[in-house]
Amino acid sequence: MPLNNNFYGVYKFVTVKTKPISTNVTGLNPYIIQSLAVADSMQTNAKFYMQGTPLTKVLDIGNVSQTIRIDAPILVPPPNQPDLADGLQLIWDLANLQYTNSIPNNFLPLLENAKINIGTDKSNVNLTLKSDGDPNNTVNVFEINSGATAQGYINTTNLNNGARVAKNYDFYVNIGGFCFFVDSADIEIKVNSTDKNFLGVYQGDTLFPFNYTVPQDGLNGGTYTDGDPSYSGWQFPFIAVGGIEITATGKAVISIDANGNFINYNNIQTYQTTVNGLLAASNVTLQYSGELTTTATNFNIFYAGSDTLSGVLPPVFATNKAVVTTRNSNFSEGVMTTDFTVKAYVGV
Amino acid sequence: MFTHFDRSVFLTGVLSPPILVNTSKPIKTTQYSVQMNMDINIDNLYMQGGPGKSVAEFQKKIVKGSMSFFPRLNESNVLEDSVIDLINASQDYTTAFTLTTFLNPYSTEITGNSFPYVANTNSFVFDVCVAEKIILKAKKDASVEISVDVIGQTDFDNTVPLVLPPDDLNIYRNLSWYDCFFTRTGSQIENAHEIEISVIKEIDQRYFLMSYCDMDPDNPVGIDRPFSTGVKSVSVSFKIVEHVTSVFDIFNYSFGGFYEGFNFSGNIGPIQFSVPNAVLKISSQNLTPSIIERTTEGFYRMAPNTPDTQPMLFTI
Repeated sequence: MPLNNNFYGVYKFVTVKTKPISTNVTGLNPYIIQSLAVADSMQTNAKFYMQGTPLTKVLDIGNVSQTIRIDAPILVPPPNQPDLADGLQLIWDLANLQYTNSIPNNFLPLLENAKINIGTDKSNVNLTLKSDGDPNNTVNVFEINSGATAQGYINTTNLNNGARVAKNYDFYVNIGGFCFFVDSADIEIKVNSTDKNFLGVYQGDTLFPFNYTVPQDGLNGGTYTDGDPSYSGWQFPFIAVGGIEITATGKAVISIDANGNFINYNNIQTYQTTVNGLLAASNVTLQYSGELTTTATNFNIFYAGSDTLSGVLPPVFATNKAVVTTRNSNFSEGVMTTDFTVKAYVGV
Repeated sequence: MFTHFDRSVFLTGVLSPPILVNTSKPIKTTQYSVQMNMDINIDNLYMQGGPGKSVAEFQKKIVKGSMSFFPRLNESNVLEDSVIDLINASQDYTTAFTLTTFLNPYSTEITGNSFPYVANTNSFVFDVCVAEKIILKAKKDASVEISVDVIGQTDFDNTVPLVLPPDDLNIYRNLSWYDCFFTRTGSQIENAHEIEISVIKEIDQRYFLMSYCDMDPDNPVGIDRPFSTGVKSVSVSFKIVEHVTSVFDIFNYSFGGFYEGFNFSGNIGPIQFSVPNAVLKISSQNLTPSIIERTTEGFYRMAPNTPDTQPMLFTI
């Protein structure tokens, strides 16, 4: 009986259109991901008129949208081996594709939402990308590869060295000035975007001939070239990029020492948590009336990777200042915790 | 058949180097299996170009295991220091102990690049051990047996080679059933056939993200062991197995309850124990054509701060 297991995803590799920081060359690059889901939709409603029949004769066909969701791990290579092309690298490379000197470039896919989930047990990233869904785009925003191509990417992503899933000791945090035991920290990067569709542009007899025919699809990547009678793409949206918000939420743990003393962690770091430490206003920089209370370099989340520390957030966002916006304290017979929310300045 | 008697012998426990409690006190065990313990699962699969499992997930790196031993008395009827330390550590939730073996060091390459499990010398010390559970068991006609479940974590690497303790020239005898004496509210428990006393701790081993607040950014050190081996609760329970010897005993039967506590105390050789406020749980009584055996279980109804006053149970 023949063995046929070609359908398993584990044999495939995903490439996403990015601009890796290491090469600064835009293209489809492979990343180690857990799952990728693509949702294409086209708004369509049935229309009814005084038409002599209840049967649907007219459809109102609307805009197209495409959303790509990616779940990818954060991985650590063996000592002295290069970093892997993991979820964190994917976020960096996507941000590098889309922003130059804080100005967005006109490239798809657009990083619409990224959640970096850092926990003591497991860490991963969830991404939501947006594209226009135009089937005639000359360069896909992602591809699924198999066979020899996929196997070639094993070395490209450095997965050939093996890896382990990032754990608590791979991350170093200082969120809003918290010098405390942090159990988990989730960072959300949100890029506000709006889909806009416009009427087609008729640019005059000199450009469009009198025998111009209405195009049936969006050829040429939706890009108009002078005199091209097939120019289309109107059904596919223009995506407007708004502001970038970075929010961190997490759980800090209030004092473990039963006596409320300072706690020393293996003589390497001294934590300054006392029983009431997290409740003191000065320690959480909640705003006083009419003040802007931030501390320089109080928003740092580092990732050790192979050896050296690097920030978890994409370098193009250059974030290191934040304010604490909420603090919810929970007291029980178990571990006493404070849930916090921190909003960061971007580019400061 | 030809046997090479001159080539090698299997290493048996009899030949293994002694285990030291608190760096210098040897203990003779009948069973010892305390190891560093870390689950590594390789269940993670991604869209990765092939079926090979290459990504590992490292779980908690802890010390875990158990040991059991027969406590021994020297000619002066004194227990070994290591046994005394273990019993005291088992009832005091604030006391940890260390365990030293003379095993070859574990390889630094096994579990990554952090130091806590690296032994630079020929010694290997589990620095922070907690007696998660201790059971003292005395049974008729048998030696008293103590078993300890150990959980803990490593601390620093040990750079100073340990030296073997000097030979112990004392002679010993096992602590036996005939060294034991038990009372229930002042009356001797005459029919006891087996007594078991347990001290059980609820352990919480947590770890956290590392703090960047005051570390050296050029020299980050990640610590892949739990932050602490914390004791959340302490409980004491016991079991008394009696052989019923009279009709009166049959009807002198407790269904347990909370209404009236009693004093359960006694001696296991030089180990005195006292449960001043014992509560019985439901008992069982097994009536057979031969011996009628009754098992009574109970626990120590203690105040929350009772374990703060030591010794709370055993006095040696």
